[in-house]
Amino acid sequence: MNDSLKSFFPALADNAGLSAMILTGLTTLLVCAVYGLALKAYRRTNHFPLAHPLALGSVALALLVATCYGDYSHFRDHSQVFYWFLGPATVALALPLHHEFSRIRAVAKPVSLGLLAGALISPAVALTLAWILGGDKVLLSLATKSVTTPIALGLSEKIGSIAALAAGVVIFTGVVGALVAAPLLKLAGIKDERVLGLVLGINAHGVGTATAFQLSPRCGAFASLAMGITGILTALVLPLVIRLLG
Amino acid sequence: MKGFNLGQIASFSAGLAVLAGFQWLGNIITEALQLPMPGAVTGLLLLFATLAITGDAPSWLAQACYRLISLLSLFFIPAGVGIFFLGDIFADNWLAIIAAILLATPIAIVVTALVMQFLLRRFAK
Repeated sequence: MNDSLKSFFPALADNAGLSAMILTGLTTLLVCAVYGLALKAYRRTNHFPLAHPLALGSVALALLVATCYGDYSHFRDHSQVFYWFLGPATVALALPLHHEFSRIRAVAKPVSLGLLAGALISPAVALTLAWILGGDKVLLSLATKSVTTPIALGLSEKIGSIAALAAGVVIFTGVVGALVAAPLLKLAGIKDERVLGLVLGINAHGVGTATAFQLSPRCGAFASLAMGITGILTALVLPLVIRLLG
Repeated sequence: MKGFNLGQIASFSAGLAVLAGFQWLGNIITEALQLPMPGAVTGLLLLFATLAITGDAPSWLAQACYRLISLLSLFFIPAGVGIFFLGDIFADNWLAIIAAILLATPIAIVVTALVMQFLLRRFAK
């Protein structure tokens, strides 16, 4: 237990089991409170990607962790509850996938081909750039950058990348992608909202999908489909590619 | 999260239990067959296949799914905090990390958009 917290709760310092439980409870409440406030800010700013609870919440929480816990590992040990939910939440993605799948059957062929291409393009671009810039040791953690967060974390265990880095990169990739996708497509002269939705889902996962739903339900439907399928494709292909490359 | 009553809590718990069950099954299959992907993704595929056969999910399960998905950001925040406490790893590789986020993302977006538009036009004819 952290020293600064011990001085706050001197009575608990002697009873390690009880204090750990209370610390876990307090940490859980703290995370929920930060999330609630960030969500409020996100709604206030009309769903501006920089204010997405993932971005704003993790920055705010990082500040709190640095001042109250001192060490990230203390915080991590007491916030395990949230990691448990990531598994069932990943499984839950099957449902929107099932719903959107039947709806877009007409364009199934080009969309599935495009998703396959997209799932390869976004990690390929990131890895090439990072490799050129000498980031050899972090390549694995960047490979999952476009994948929806729970799948990225599951993958990071599987391929042995640095989970904390992979998670953070995913979040900020999502924010950047959600910010720049619509203006970039406008510049490129692409007006098809299906394309915009798919691109947001492939490159900016949950944050992009939320942005897509702000634009139109159709755009959002294509984005959530793209997010789910990109996540699955990456989960299937990436470990194999890494095994091949040794 | 307004208007939580006992019935809702019960049906959410039931949905959560089903999802956890699929994940558990996914883990077992992944272990047994030495599959490359995470167990939860195997669970996702299992549920997807089940839905393809049964047609649709009961409403309590669907509601639990959408509630969980809407809370994904909450579950993920604690992991996201980690990027600010990387220490040496970030100090040694900051250029590659920043470039992967700030440069690679826009490039990948433009390329995937062009590919996608080409494919949609090509197959529309």
